[in-house]
Amino acid sequence: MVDEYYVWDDASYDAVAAAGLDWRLVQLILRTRPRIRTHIGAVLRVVAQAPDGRWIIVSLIEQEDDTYLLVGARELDAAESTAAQRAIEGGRR
Amino acid sequence: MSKTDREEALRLLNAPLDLTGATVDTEPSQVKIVHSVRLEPTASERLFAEAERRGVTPSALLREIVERALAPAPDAETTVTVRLADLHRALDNAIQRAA
Repeated sequence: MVDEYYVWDDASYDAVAAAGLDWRLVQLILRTRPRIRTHIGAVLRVVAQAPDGRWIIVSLIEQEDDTYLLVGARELDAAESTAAQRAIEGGRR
Repeated sequence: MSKTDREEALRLLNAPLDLTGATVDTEPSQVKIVHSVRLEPTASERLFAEAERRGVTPSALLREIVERALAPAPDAETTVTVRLADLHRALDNAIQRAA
């Protein structure tokens, strides 16, 4: 099992709060499986479904191998949520 | 990590979702959290001084302080062992605060 380190600083909590999200929910999203990951350069984005059905995206910066600073998060809109659901279902096959 | 990286991460966060090249993780991983905390200069200096006195790194001392603060309170009848120097220091601090 690979260790993953998520760095939370003051700006992380501020960004999550500004998005109207609870930091505990975002912590949960990072642990949730299945989840969708996309890497673009140093930026990692994670998408997963919350227990209440909402789809949340979290944006992080890779600081070093398997260590990511949390920059922000938001809730996906309806169309994005559908795309995420399809991606998860496709990935499970 | 540069300011540009953070700006790029925020731009990608707020851009319409693009799942090109995305992978689906189903396997669990061991998630650990790094807590980055900013301290006031006086608190930092006290942390450095205490870490140096104990011969440990500031990170190790912070870890110890947090674990101690969050540990369940011992039963009142529990016997504990403390160093005499630490006891004297605690008493001196309490007396100074009360003065």
